[in-house]
Amino acid sequence: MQTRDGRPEKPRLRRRIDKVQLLGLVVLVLVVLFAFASKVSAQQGGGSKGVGAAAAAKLKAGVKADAKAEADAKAEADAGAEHAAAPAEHAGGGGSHEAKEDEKEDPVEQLATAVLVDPKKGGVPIHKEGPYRSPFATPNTPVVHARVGFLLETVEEFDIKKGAFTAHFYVTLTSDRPMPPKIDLKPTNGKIDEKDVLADLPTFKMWKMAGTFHIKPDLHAYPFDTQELDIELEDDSNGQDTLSLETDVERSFLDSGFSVPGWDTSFVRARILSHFYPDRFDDDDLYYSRYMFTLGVKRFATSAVFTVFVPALVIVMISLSGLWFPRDELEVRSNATTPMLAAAVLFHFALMQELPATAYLSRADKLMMGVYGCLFLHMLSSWIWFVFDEKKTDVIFRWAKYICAPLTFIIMAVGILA
Amino acid sequence: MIAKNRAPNPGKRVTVVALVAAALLLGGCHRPKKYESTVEITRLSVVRQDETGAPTTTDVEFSYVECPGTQTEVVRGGKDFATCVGQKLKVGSRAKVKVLHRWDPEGFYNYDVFEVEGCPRPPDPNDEASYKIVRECADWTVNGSKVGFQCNYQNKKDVNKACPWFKSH
Repeated sequence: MQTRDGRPEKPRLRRRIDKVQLLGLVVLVLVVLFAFASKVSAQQGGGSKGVGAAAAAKLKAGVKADAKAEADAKAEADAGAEHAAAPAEHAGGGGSHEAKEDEKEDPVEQLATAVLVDPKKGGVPIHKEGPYRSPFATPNTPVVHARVGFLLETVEEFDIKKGAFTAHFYVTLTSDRPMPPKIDLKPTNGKIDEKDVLADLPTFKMWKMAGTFHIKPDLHAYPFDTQELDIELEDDSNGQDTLSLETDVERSFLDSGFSVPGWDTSFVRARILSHFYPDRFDDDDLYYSRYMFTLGVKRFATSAVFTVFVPALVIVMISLSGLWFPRDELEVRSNATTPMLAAAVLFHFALMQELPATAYLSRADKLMMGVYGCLFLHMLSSWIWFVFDEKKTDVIFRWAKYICAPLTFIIMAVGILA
Repeated sequence: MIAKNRAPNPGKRVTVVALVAAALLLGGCHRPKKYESTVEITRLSVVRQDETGAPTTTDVEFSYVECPGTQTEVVRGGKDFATCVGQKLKVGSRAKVKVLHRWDPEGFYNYDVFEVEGCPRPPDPNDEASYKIVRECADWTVNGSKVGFQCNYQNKKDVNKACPWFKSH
């Protein structure tokens, strides 16, 4: 080939990736590795928490386990219990004081009417009469149906990463006939920090409680997720043969002006669960009424769009604009894409920091997968110049736009709607 | 001067029409709207009185009889309102209320009761005593058995259809 003035044109040298860009790429890879390592380690940490509970579960169902396995499981469970008890004692003297008071209490009255039929068969006394054989059953006593009223006053400190929140609420029990004298509603998914008895009459009982409760967040739809904040209460001293709880829609409300900061109130739900424990001993057949109040809160959609979707789309749009730079402007073209990959990784990392580890992809994760896919496509459209002959530079430049631009919109649409 | 005889540009016209339509739509979608409904008075409480015993602040609690679901509302009004409702309303009676459905700067639709049975009640933005509970409840069933209930505060399809001022989104 010749130049316009007739001199032979010097062959164009291929541009090499300079050291700064190479360093940038290395840093980028390290950031990606670090992000995924954090995610993986967080998941492993979550998994290890279940070991103690599994051991305890084995201990409960340990009828068929041999003595050695039982002893091992007991040792594990005891160790777990010690670990669990330690923070509770540190949390406040009130909790441990209550526990000591409970220990001093008389054993359950129902045990007095139970008889030991066959000492060789486990040594657990049973009730021969009535529908339940459990030593904690109360035969020959009519069931009292108590309606549960619930007023949720406040919900504070909702931490979705820990899956914990504190709540202040009123609980009332009303019945047509006298209820069992000793009713003690205890949370099954948290702990009560304050409990004031406001009324303790045979047919009307009322408490004001404040406590911390735990939930398992559902993040499939994040950032358009609805979280269910559960408050579960159960009286484990009265089985369903004595006290049967019933929900009362006319007496279950949110307090006036109720709101959870950062969340929109969606619904309230109350239900009674007839709870059956896995066999803790022989003839452990008694059901217990568990009251479950659920507050549904939804993330504000506008906030979700502007904090998650808009930044992701901006990153992709800036990267997409790089496709219109020709090969002569390769540095500009690369700078429109590569830094966006770093921005995307950091943005995704920041999003993950707010959430607990999950075994599934949330909507935001799928969106970010789409962003990574688009950025990879845009980078590929530049790299491909170094694979093919320079004669095809213009063809590649043109077709990269024709193919990558529509593909970007398709990938992002799939990422948003998936 | 001779005016140039330009050929009409259909694309430009479409753009202008679309922009005007979008502007009108945006301006209209947050426009406040007035409604009228019938309520049943469930409570009348004088909260404050002056030295002569005349009411200066009154709470009126009512439920909307024409709307499905559960709607309990308490509106608190000043001296003129208290005097007026004291003469016109009784517990158990029905009354006409006028409501203003408007866009709230907090980012959702809200409504205010501004008249009860002809008694004007200008809403006070600092009034924290007035409140409303608007929800739609249904049985909660598991395995075909009723085990409780669920009350929706947002997705109230039947309520919003019959009484559109309850729409918040």
